[in-house]
Amino acid sequence: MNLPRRIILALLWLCMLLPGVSHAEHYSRILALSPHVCEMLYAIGAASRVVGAVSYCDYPADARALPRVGSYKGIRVEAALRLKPDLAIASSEHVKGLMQLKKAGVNIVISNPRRFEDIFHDMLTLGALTGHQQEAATLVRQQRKRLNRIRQHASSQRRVFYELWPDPLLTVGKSGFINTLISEAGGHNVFAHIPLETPRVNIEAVIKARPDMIIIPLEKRNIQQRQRFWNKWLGKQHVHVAGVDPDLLHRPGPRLIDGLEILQRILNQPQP
Amino acid sequence: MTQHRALLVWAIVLAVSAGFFLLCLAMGEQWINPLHASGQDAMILWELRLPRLLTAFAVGGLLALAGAWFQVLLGNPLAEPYVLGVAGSASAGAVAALMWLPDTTWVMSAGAFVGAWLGIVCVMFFARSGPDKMLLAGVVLAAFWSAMLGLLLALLPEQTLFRAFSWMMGDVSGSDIPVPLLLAIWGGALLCGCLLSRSLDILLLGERHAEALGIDVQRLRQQLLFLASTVTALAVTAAGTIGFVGLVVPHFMRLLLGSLHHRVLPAAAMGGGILLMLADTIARTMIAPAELPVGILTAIIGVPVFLFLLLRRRS
Repeated sequence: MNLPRRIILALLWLCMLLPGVSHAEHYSRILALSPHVCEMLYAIGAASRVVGAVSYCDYPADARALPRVGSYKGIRVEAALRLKPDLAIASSEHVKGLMQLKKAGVNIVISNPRRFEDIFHDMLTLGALTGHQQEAATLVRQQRKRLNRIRQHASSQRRVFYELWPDPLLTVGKSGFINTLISEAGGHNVFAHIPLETPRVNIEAVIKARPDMIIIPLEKRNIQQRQRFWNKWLGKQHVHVAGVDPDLLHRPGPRLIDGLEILQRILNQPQP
Repeated sequence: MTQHRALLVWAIVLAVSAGFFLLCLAMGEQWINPLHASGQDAMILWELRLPRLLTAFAVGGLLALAGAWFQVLLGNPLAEPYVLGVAGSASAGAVAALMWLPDTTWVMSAGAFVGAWLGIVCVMFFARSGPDKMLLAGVVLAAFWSAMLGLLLALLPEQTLFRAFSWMMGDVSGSDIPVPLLLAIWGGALLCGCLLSRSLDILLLGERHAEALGIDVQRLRQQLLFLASTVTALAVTAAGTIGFVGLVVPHFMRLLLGSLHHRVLPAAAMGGGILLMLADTIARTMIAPAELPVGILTAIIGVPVFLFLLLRRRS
């Protein structure tokens, strides 16, 4: 296949994927219905086009001033429509109220990235939708470079237990997004074989899995107390407990690469 | 039933309990022989598995006892420990505590306990009414508490929502009531039950008969309501809401042993304990290293056995 034909096909494919993009006009009144979408729009310089957000859209600080049109439980359709949006970007079609927005004529785009490639793809999509292609492309290029650097240093092979929640004890399994992050950073999730997204495990299972590193997304948790707890069960010499900011690791947005770099730095620390 | 057969049944129940107990203790991530464990195995056995098993046993027994009492008290075979809304008020209390107090492990238990008592106080107003009114009031109260619970859940921040749901599904692994205390409560409840068993038998004949035989029915009702509600409150505080045990175990024991309470109550206290112990062991081993909520397992194990027994008895 020659090059021009390839380009034409690629463009056609892109047009099918993104209805509305082929129009020269860009969306200018956008509802960001998920924190990662909000962060992406700010990161590609499209902040001025965002007119509304949901309760957990708290980054960057400017985003906190956006009018709220709902929470993770659903959208308040009236409040959303009052902002006269032309586009709503959500993480799932099943967000309550989204279909009503669609019926009212608001265009809907779903962004639910599961891998870094998906994140880059969605950033470029948002760039195209808002007329910030250049910024999006630059951001993706930078992030790709950082990701490649991380992949080159992914050699720690530490056995990681990711303590998603202490009581009940929850971790991440095979189908979870965080499992991918741990292996990208070079670690090995000790529960990577469980075919669930956030399986509940017990202390005994953790003892048997023999992790040498426990990573805790800090949500009101006391790291010293968790260190003491795990020292008791896993032995003082064997386990290192470290905390990370959950917003960096649990949101598939532009800051995820920061989270991954921090995760790798923790994993690459010399073992005591 | 002859004295002989009763003794035999008791011997079997005790032997089976002991067998199941050892089996459940040995099962887990890996098989550990309880008689020859040392080092880390011993730690797993005595600090992780044993307290959890004993909690399951005590809670299961308490729920079955409470169920048996409520069934007599309300004269209704469908009665179970949560019928009068005590579990609902306990759940609402636990979730309210989660919402307004710092999130430490015992906060939910304390909230559940306070909530349960609030529920008991409400129910006690109807202690002097007849069984039908009491049941009606209880069902309405249960609906009220479940609405309150719904309201609190709607207002709860996302991070704590999961914790609330997992508590409500029942969990015997993280009880904040010390295990010896829980076992003492189990023993105390069983003793109270045995002391009341003759009166309960007479109450089953009907209120008029009971009064004719010199029993103060009003007082008995009050005592029974208080006892059953307190036991339910303690069980819910220790392990959240675990369904099915309280409904089916008493009936199961009646089908096996007849309806005399000096037999049914001890058997229910043991049987409920064994059922929950078994259910919890399966919950933690079936899809290991992941765990299932124990409440699902009690029904999955109990329903087929119960229905089988029901069919056999009829034919």
